[in-house]
Amino acid sequence: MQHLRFGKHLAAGAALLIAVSACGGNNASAGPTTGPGATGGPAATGPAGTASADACGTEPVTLNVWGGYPEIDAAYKKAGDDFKATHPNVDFIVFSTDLRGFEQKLTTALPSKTAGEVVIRTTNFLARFIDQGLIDPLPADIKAEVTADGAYAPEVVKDNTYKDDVWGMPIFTGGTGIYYNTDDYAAASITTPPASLEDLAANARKLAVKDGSGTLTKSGWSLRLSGQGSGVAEKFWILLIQKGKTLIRETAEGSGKWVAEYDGPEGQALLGMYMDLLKEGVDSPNIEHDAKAFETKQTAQFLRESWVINEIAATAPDLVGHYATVSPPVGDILTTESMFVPAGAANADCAWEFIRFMREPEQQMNLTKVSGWLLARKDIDLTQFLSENPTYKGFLEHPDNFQLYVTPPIAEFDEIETKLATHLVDAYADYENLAGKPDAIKGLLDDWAKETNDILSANGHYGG
Amino acid sequence: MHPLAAIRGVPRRSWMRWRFAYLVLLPTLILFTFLRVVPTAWAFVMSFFEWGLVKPAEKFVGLDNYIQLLGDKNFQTAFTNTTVFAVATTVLSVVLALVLAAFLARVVRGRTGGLIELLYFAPVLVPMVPVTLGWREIFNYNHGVLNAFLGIFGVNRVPWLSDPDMALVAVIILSVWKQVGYNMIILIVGMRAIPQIYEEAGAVDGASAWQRFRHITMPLLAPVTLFVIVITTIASYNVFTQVYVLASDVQGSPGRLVRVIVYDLFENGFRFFNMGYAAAEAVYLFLIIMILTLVQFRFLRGSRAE
Repeated sequence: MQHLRFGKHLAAGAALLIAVSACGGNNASAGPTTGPGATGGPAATGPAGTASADACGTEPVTLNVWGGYPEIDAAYKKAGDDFKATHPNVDFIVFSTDLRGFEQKLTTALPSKTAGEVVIRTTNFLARFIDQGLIDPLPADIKAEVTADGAYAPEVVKDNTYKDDVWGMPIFTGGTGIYYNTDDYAAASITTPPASLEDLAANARKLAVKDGSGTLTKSGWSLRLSGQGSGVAEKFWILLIQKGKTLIRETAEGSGKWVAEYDGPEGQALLGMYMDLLKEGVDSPNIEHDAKAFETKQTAQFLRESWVINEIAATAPDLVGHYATVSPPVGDILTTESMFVPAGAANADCAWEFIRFMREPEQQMNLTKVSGWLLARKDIDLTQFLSENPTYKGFLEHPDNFQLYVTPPIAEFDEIETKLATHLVDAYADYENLAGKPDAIKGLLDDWAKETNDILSANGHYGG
Repeated sequence: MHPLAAIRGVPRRSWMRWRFAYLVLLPTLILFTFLRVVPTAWAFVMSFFEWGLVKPAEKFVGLDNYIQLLGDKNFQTAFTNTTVFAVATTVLSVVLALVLAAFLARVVRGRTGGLIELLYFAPVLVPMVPVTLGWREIFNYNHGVLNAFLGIFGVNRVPWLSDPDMALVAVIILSVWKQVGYNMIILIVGMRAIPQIYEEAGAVDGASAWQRFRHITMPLLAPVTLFVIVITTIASYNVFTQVYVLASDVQGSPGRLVRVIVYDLFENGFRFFNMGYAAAEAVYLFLIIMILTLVQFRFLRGSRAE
């Protein structure tokens, strides 16, 4: 009897679990939802062949522009207003969220055909969607402009190339600069900006400030120690480039086969440097980091893209004139954000017309002035801009033989970078045990590289 | 016996009423099936395939996803963290709720009792996201209220959100605070439903307050306690929002340090596009919770029978 009753409870418990687990499962899919600006229904139009004066017709049209950088919204809105002068029937809804949230939104919106008519992201991120025919190819006239000699840096074109074709119209790029507080440099009697990774670390040791109890109050260098997504690994990659190496290397140019490279002696030395700096108290997980730390004078140096210049002007104006930027000494990663039109988007012709408009020099310059991100076109003269805004020097003037790396054109690279970032964060948190132990560091890097190579192998891209 | 035989004797009016009840339930049942049962069943199916988010049903892989998960270090870490979190949160929130419920059901009543109940229940009413953002400031190493409070007693500042162990503790504190009010209300209702006469009889027989609580209240409260434990266990194993929001800052977040199962499957499914793999992880989560729930049912029912 008791057995029977237990059986009933088993059934009731299982039913309850299924119901509640299903609710819990909802959490996992809670990220992307259709927000404002989502377009409805299927569309009939395909990609525009060429620029057309009446691409937007005369009927009321609403273009939804989706991006992952809210600080650029003002530039798109201004462009929308300017576009409206010649296309009075076109209205714009600009919608941006933080980058990770935006990526999650795209992940469900593109397959369900509910994304905006204009989507701004990297070709690498959209590679999987391109594979499934969810992104419109570039119209011929835009493709010709993008690939024309001297229009864009070769790395920008390379970053937009996937499976031997160019995708998306490049709109802005993200490069890295070293920000340093000139007052702190003067106080520490440092007279020249860092010319090598070793300089950067040596300066950091001089710049760190501790209080009477030995607690760090200002980091000498705000390292990227934690955070969502792949950013932690990306910063590690940028520093690895200063040592002449990269995260994954193509075994032969154009072979499509890759192998982990960060586990060599250079990677070991770099990870060791992180551990040493943390152990010496040059930086700490427990103080403010990143742009906020620099703006509030809680760090003397850090690496970031050029958008921080605008943020400093807006949120920490007292810092203007008391800091400078310098290029990384050896090389950098160049990421290009481009404009795409999803396959089957409503008003696709009009969307491409707006994208053509965004390529105009005035709109390109406005984007940089409004957001701080660097315009993508190479054929626009920035001499006057640089003289008026000398803090951009670190992003626009590079040493000779400066190497620019682009994201490998393989869809699984984000997984590789994100998983590496996870390991790096764990290792940074364990710096007390890892500092001064090169064998332990080598062991970790070997394990991580194996995971990287396994992912490459699973996707048919391993060339080791 | 034919199933209809049982209702043959039922008056026609009553039978019509039953039919009406099923009729009005039908839309909800259809929605529930479509939105809950079908996706859950579909997850089982997906788990046997190499299934990309935008490239469905690429290849049938049998149990490969399940086998691969067992060797996945991220999954192992997530499983350990989630289990520690679930055990700690369930035990703390149920025990605290029991103490509070006993206090409010037996000792403090009237307006004061109502006010205290409201205060403890208030966190349940606030959505998790704003609550977590608030707690992120409370846990802040430099200017957080918690470290300032601990400092009064000479305790050194605790890196709540940057030390892996303390980050887990921080998420447990937040979650217990959020859950305890709900558990307390359920237990209070259960305690108030126990007839006062049993307590009085125990008092007449000379049982102390603790003895009456231990030997009268607790056994009679067992079904309600079981419900509270099961619900809290399920909610704890499904922990996600707190961890995700605490990690939403660009820097200084415990998201990487407190990897939990739902976060891990979310990442596998929606960041790495491996939906089949993520579905297998969801099935593991389902099985873990189901086994734990059955054990809880058996254990608590068994102890009650004794």
